[in-house]
Amino acid sequence: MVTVSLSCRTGPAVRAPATEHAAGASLLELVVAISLTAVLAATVGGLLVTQLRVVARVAEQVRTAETVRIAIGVLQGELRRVAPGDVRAVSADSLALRAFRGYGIPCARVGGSLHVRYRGDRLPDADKDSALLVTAAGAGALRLLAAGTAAHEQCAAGAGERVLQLQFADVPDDIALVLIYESGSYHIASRALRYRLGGAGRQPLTAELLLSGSGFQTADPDVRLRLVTVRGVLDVAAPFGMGGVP
Amino acid sequence: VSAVRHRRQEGRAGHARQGGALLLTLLLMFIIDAVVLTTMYFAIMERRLSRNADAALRLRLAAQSAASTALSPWPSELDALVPGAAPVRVADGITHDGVGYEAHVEALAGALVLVRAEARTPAPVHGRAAAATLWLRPALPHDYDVAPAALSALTVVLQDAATLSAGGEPCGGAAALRVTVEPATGSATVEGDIHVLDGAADIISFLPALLARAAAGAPVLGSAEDLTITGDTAGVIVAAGNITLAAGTAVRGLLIAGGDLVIEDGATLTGAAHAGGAARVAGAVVLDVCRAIDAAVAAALARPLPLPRRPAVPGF
Repeated sequence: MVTVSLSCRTGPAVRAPATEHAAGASLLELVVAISLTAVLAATVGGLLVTQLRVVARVAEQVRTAETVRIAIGVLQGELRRVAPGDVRAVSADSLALRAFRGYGIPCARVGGSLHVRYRGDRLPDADKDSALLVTAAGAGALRLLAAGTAAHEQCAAGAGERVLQLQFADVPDDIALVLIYESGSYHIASRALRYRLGGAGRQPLTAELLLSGSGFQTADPDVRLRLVTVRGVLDVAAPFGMGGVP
Repeated sequence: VSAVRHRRQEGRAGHARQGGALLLTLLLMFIIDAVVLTTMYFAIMERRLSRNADAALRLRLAAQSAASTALSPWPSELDALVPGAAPVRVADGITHDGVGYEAHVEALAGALVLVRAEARTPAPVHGRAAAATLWLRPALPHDYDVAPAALSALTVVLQDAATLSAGGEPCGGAAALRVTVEPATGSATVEGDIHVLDGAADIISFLPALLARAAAGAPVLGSAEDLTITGDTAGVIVAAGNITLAAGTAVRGLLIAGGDLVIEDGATLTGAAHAGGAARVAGAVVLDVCRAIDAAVAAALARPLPLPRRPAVPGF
C-alpha cells in the first residue's frame, strides 16, 4: 500500500520532463511518421502495382499458353489421323483437310446399304459427312453419305462398337473398311484458331490470343506440316499419318 | 489525474500506431500471399497439365507400338482367319511404366487385316488410347520354298533353242523341273540332270494373295491379265494370265503365272518360275535360288506388310 501511494505521488514529478519532451517531439515524430508512411506507402504501392502487373502478365501468358496448347492439341489430334492425301491444301493461314470422325467394318450388305460395326468420335451425320470406302486392294473410293441409322439386328457389335446402316448412292463390291470424314478447314484469323465445316462460317476454337505471325508452314507437304503458334518461341511439327505407322 | 490522463492518451496513440503497422503488414502479407498462391496455382496446374500430356503420350505410344508390332511375327493361327470371324487377340501386356495394352486382329475383305490396339492406365488416371493399322496378310507361308526347281508347271516344253542350267554354287541348286505331267524336252540343251518333282500347283494357290499385294502397291509387279515383258527387269512378277518374256529380255527373280509361261528365243530368266499352265521355253532358264529368294524377301512375300497406300487408320 505504501508503495502504491508513493508511486502515485511521485509519478507526475518523474514524468514531467518526458511529457515535455514528448510534446516537443510530436511535430518531429509527425514529420518522421508522415515521411516514413509516405515512403512505405510508395514502396508498398509500387510493389502492389508491380505485382499486379506481374499477375496480369502471368495470367496473360497462361491464357496464351492455354490457347496455344488447345490449338496444338486440336491440330495434332486431327493430323495424327490423316494420310498425306487427306490434306487438301495448306497456306500460311489455313489448312484444308478431311477430318476423320470414325470408321466402320462392313458386316452385312442389304441392297445398296452397308451394315457396319462402327467406332468413332461421334455418329455419322449425312448432313456433313462423306465416306472413304477402302477396297480390298487398299484403294479408296469416295462417296457421299446418304444416311446413317442404327441397325442393331444385323450384326453383333463388339465392345465400344455400334452397328449402323450406311447408305450410299452406290457401293463397290469389295469394301473392306468405311472411313467417315467431314471436309473442313482450320484457319488462323483474328489471332484465333478457327474451324470451318464445309461452307459454314469460321467458328473460333480458341481465345484470340495467338500472336501475329502464327500460321502454317510446310516445306514438303508429303512429309511434314508445321504449325507456328508463337513466332520464334513455339514451333510444333506434326508428321502426317502418325497413327501407329512403323 | 493529469498524469493518468496523459498516460491514457499516450497509450491510445501507441495503440493507434501499432494498429497502422499491423494493417500495413497485413496488406503486404496479403499481397505476397496472393502472388505466392497465384504462382503456386499456376505451377500446380502446369504440372498437372504436363503430367496429363505425358500420360496421354505414353498411352498413345503404347497403343501405336502394340498396333505396329502385333503382327511381327505373323502367328500361324491367323492363316485361317476369315472376314466376319471374331477378332483374335495377338498381343497383350503391360509396359515398364505400367500401361496395359492389347491388340486384336480382324480379317477384312481380300488380303487386308485390321490391327486394333488399345492401351489403358488404371485408376485413378483412367487413361485410354487406341491405334489401328491396316496390313496385308502374308502372301506365302513362312519358310516356303520359292525355288524348289527352275520351273514349276503343269507341263514343261523345252524347245530346240532352250537351255536349262543351274547358277553358281551355293545358289544354283539342281536344274530341276517341277511338273504334274512328264515334260516334253525335245532337243533342248540341258546342263546336268533334270529332276522331275511332284506338285507344281501349290504355289499357284497363293496367286490371289500375290495379286492383292501387287494391287495394293506392294513391291510386286503384277497383272490381273496377261503380261508381256519386253525390257530387262528384276523382282517378283506375277500375273493371273500368261507371262511372256519377249525375245532379248533378261529377267532376274521370281515369276509366277496363273496361265502359261512363255520364254521366247533369246530371252533369259535367272531365278525361278512357276506356271499354272504350261511352260514353253525357247530361251534360257538359269536356276538361281538366291535370286528367287532375294526377290521374295525384298517383296516381303512371307511377312505381313503395312498397306502401302494407307497403313494407319484413325484409332477410336
